[in-house]
Amino acid sequence: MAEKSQKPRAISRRQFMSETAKTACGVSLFGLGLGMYSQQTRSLPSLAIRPPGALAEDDFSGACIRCGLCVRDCPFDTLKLGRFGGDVTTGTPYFTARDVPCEMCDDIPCVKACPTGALSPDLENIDDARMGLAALIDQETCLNFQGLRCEVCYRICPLIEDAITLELQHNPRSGSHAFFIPTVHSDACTGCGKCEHACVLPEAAIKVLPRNLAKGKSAEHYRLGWEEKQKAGESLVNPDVEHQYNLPEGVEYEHGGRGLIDEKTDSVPFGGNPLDTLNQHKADLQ
Amino acid sequence: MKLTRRDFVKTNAIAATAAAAGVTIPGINSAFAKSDDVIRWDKAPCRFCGTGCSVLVGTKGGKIVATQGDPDAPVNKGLNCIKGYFLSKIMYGKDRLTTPLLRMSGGEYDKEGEFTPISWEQAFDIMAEKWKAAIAKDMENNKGKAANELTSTVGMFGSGQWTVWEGYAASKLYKAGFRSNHIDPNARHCMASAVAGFVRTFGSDEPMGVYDDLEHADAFVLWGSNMAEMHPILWSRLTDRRLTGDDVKVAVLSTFQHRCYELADLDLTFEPQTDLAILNYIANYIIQSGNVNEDFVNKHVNFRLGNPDIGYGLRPDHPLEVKAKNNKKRADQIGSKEISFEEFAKFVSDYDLESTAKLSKVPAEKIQALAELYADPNRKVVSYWTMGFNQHTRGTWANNMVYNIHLLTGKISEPGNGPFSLTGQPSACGTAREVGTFAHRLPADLVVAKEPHRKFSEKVWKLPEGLLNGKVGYHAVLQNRMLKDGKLNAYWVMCNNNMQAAPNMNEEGLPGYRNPDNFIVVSDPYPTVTAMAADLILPTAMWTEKEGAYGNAERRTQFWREQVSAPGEAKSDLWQLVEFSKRFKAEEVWPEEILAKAPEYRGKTLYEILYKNGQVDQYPVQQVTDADNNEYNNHEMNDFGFYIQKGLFEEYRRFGTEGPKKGHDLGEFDQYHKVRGMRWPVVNGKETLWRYREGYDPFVKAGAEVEFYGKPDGKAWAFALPYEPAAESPDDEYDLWLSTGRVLEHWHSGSMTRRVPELYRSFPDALLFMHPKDAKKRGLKRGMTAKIETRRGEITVRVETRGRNRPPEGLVFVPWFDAGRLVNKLTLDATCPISKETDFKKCACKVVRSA
Amino acid sequence: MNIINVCGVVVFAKPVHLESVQQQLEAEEGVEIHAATEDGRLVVTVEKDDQQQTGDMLHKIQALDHVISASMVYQYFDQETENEREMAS
Repeated sequence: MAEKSQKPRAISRRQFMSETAKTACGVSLFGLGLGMYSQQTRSLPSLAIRPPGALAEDDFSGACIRCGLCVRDCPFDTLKLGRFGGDVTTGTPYFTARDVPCEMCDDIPCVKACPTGALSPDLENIDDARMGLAALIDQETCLNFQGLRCEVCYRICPLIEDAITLELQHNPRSGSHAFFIPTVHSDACTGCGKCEHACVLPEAAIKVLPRNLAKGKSAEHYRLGWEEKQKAGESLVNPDVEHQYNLPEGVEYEHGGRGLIDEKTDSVPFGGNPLDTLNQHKADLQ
Repeated sequence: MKLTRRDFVKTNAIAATAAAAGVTIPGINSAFAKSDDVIRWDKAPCRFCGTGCSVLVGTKGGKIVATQGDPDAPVNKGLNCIKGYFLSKIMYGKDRLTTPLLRMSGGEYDKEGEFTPISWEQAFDIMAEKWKAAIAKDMENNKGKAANELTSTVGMFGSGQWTVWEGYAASKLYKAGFRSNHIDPNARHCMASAVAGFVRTFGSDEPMGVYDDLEHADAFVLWGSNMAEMHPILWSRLTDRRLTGDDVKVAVLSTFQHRCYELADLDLTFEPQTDLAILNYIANYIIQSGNVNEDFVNKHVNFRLGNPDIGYGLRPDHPLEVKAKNNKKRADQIGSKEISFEEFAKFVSDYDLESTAKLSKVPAEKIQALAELYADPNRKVVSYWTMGFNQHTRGTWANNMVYNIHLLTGKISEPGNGPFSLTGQPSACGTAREVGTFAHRLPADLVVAKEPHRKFSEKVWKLPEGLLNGKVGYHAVLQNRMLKDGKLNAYWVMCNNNMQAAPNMNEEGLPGYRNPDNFIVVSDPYPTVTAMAADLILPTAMWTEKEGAYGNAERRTQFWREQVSAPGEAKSDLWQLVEFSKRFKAEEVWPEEILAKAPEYRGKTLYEILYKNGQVDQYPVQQVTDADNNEYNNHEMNDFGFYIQKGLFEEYRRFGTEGPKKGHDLGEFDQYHKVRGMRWPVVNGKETLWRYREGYDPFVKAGAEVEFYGKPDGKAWAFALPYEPAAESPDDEYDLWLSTGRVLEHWHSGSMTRRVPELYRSFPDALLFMHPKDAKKRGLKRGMTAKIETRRGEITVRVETRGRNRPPEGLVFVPWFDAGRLVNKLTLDATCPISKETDFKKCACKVVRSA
Repeated sequence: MNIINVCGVVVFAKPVHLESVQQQLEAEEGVEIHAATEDGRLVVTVEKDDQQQTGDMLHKIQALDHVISASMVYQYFDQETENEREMAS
């Protein structure tokens, strides 16, 4: 019950249309919203996601005129309008991924419908949308972290292999199975929320959050050497000249690779020459 | 007896208190006490695929409240896929069937009537009436006919999801009781080509290897298998081997890109049907590159030239069948003649790299790299395949041809080397294949067409000589055709959803079921599409609502005990079959000349002859317990008055231990309840890992090293077989290939998994997976509804151009789990003419915008 | 909605006064004896509408003449819904 009361109160598109029809003119609704709730616009509840192309929250609040046209044109009833007294500013569009995620229409009808550019017309390819960012928040309950073969979030992802990949790891407990760890990539995730919607747990282990909540930031003072090397395509500092080592016979040493290679460990106590074996045994027999 | 919840709780209170006080109270069942205040855990194999993962089932208060992966099971070591994760919910869908339902109007049976609840008594009344009428007609028609000419108008469509004893009881009821071989399992749609392939090449069904191959191979080749989704736990093992092994390679072949490609070192997306050419090229490469294991080939392989041009398993008047040369007689379809190795080498030499690459549209270097994997003498290779190979109009050939590769290189029957068909269903091996519930089979690799095999079966079953029908019955696809043609009139569908699963529903399946001449009975736990098309629906106990046994893909037979009671009047398939047998007197099903040979059966019911026969009923009622002395119910044992599952299994086991085909031995009934499965042949309590290899397989003669003892001379047959085109290919009007298949989230037709809310939500509806360019050409965008049409029907489905499956241009893929989008309205009922398995992977379709 | 509140209690009585303890217990509403041994052990259930009454009854049993001890070993409390009331055994 507590969980329910936290959710923003929503009206569906159909309700919205009929309610606006009941009033003499739709203007009265957004007039009301603007007048009474302009103070409350600054923060958005963390599970309420703005439509594709939405400007940064402050700019969006300023630009959105609460006309509801994006909600009207959403073919999947994903988008809702904030209701009077709810947590989302009255009359502004949002969606809750766990209820109905964004289907990422190729032609982005919500953006086309926006008369003010609060949903930016610069968004032409839906893959460039950054509504939020999926985050696998709870590794303790995620089935894949336990070695089970779920990956529902991965297979449902419209940008499978770009926005979510499976990182493969050995499962040391079973000894003979692999972990398939779903991993979100912020450079591709649009925040559509299909993953959160599909998660089979009673409470999703993967959630779409506003990007500022979901994303950490690397510091400038430390770089990941292997990434820098990859970016540069070569070592940033010249590689070593060839190394030489003092080594017993039959043993090799690989610089920067496997290290000490002792071939004897997996060999048999016989040489390549049968005569050597025979002579050895001769000594044993005497 | 009805027990209120209050009574139940009180009983537990008394039992627990008595236990604490150290007092025994007669009549207080300790099982109740243990089952309510704590969860009782017992083992069972998963209900779904052929992998055969083991789970622990948690029961409390008469309900399954939880499951867990069984950490002590060698197959899955505690892991499950997402279907297995939801096992505890599959029995509790809101619309479980709990009473028999008959189509009636005005209180009478009416084929056009409405489904009306009736009692079991009434259900068996109407069934017996219909069956007896049909059998009386058959007996009239069969007067004076030889055993191999007998016809029948009663049939059954069974299942690779039946328990072992259910399949056995059904097979016995039909083949012995009704003298009808028109009993076939849904495994026909699934594994028949693998069966035909194994039998044709090795003379014995089922793989030689085990899952341990996964940890021993250096290379894996997947032929038409989306193991990542369809065998998730085995894929997890394969992935682990790829991650942790030294230089392990994975090659994946498919007609579209799927989830296995992510792990693949080598991926080959080929033009449908050209896998045949690629297989021959590999054989050719092995020979040309000098990598034939000559010693192995000389000792263990014969070469055969198989007959080409064998048709497509369509109705005989179809133009393709009229045109084909070797399709009129069975002997021609399966026919072959002996050839030399040199002749074989010459035959495959036509399949050179250049022409194979051109035909298959796979880059030449990829095909060659694949051939090198197989040819490399220092690399151990396992080939895996599922429906891409088996559901193929040349499915038997494809199986034969992959064996060729393993035989030429000698990479077979040893750890890490071998061909391995991955079974789709939980007991396609254990029940459909080993028990032999096919239209042509008897238990333990025996067949109805061979008189000695029938004689042996008659002896075990204590039947009069000459009783068993020697004419091969109607296979799955033929059953639907014969229903439509009015030649099969009393028909029982059990433990499958064949209206949704079988091909060409519009032209064959539905007209067959609704033919006014026919009476169709469907047994199922849920109201499936098939049940909707039935005349009588019987409510069925499922999975752990009964004692059961499944056999998985690696020959592992696994048992479970009854954990909970079925709801309402639902009864197990076993109960239904055996109870129905009580309705028939010997005189009503067998002619006088048979009865004259067994006068002791006069006046007896089939129940007395087949089940209460002095063998099956020899184990008295007992309390079923586990090692912790938890007590379990067994409804069938209580109802029939003997331990019927044990009796059936022990009688069935004799086919393996005493039968004419060696190497099919199973262990003793009681032993299986104590272990997490055993892999047959089980000899003196010892399991067999790799068949046909001396040291591993007790049936191989000392000194033989390898012996394919299913064949008279112990040598396997390598077949020279050509590439031949598909039955229906895209043309100007129907310009795309249509392939159908499955998804990880749902089991087959979705009748169980779509009733689990979380699984339904995770993948609710079937999608049309297509290439974005193909979509664009047709004015379609992702998310739009499109109409798919074939010559047989049309459905509307949402377009998906992204996501898990990425078809190349020219091919679309639609999964078949969705009862709301029946893709089998579109498919063609072309089969492999040898295995009779449908090619669900290839037909021609067009896709247009939906109005 | 129906309340199910059942307790299982092991009562130890002085063996010579077993009969008297049994009579006293049987006089209490909601208390049933299911077994008694010669050495004074009794298997008893207590069914009451709420936890408070159950607790009071336990104290009462403990205070009965000739009772050495009374210990609760099992407790079940649940609200039964309509469709759960009947279940097949």
